[in-house]
Amino acid sequence: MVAYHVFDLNPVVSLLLNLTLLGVICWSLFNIEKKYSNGNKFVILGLLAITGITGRILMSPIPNVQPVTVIVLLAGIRMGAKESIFLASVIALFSNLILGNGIWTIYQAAAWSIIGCLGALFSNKLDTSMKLILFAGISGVLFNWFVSVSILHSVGFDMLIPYLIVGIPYDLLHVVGNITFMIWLSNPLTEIMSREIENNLNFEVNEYEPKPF
Amino acid sequence: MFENIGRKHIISVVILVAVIVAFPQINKLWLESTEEVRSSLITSENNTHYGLPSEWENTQVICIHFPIEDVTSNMTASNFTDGITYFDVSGSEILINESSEALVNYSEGRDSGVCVGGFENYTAGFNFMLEATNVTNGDIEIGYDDGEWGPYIHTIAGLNANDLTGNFSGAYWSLYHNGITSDVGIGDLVMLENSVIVWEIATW
Repeated sequence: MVAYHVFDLNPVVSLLLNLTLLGVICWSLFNIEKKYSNGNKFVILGLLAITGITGRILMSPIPNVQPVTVIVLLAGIRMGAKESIFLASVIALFSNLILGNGIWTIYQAAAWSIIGCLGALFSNKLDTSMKLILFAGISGVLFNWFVSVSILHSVGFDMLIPYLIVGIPYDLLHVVGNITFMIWLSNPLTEIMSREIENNLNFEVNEYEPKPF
Repeated sequence: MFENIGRKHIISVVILVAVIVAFPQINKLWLESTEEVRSSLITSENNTHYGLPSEWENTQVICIHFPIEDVTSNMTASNFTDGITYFDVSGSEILINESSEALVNYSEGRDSGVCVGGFENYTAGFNFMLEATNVTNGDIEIGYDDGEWGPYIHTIAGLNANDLTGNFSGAYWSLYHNGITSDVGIGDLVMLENSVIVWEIATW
């Protein structure tokens, strides 16, 4: 019996397949959202979480290039701190079920939460696309350095600085990735996150006029 | 959803792809150029612990440097003839320093050796030396005579100074304390909290 599933994929090919899958999931997801959600914030949060989880898992062949940082940052800015904390924790946990769970999960959740909260805190100031892009870049370094602190569980403080220095090219990847994702996702995600509930409360209240006695 | 794809979008993707493609090269260049900074060895030449692992800073350390040209084959520590091996207080090997140029009291012809460090609260030099060399399970065994002025060390790690032959009248194990020749023997040496004691073969 030939094992059809056992063959070695070129990493570039497998990355392209991953990206195709990610594209299909996002495209269908966001089209469905338009059809059903009517701006219900809870539905939107679920949809953003799924996008973050699948995005992180499917882009994992490229280290540090993933949409999660930008998603939680935008969620913090457009929706609020609590929403971004929820997204950060859920995305960290569920993507790590595939990518590997460990002590770093709590650090990743915390780091993304902090980025989301900073976004919420400075939401009034982050009003131009240039500022958003700059902040996305900074978040990349902030996230990596925060998560790096988790190595102190296994090695001494002396190792932290060499560890951070080794990581700088990876920080660069995160920064460039974040900037790209911010440029691409800022408008569509802002549109979805800021959508007001339109049809749910359609009780035609305005047309009700009490009859005079 | 992506109605307004402009120049910014395209440029950002091009740059991202370029960085990803060049990443292995960038990473390699970076690792090569930061090797010195990342070294976990103490690099300040004024430090008594120069060349030692940074976690040993302000702790008590003993180092033994072997002369490569005169090392006799019966040396029990012949596994120390390549680079400097560092052991921690539990006797675990923490690293081997292959480029032993950065070394306390480094002198020519001595690029192999062993250091045991990370100790605290020892005051008597001889007691410290026996206990510190004991953690490696006999690899750095000490041979000494009880002399009129305290213990006289003739053998370290199987290398007996009296057995060395060469273009000299005689050889002995010489003691350094924090970078300078100790003016007292190991039996009278009072340890400081940051003492690095070094044994090297000296000749006359």
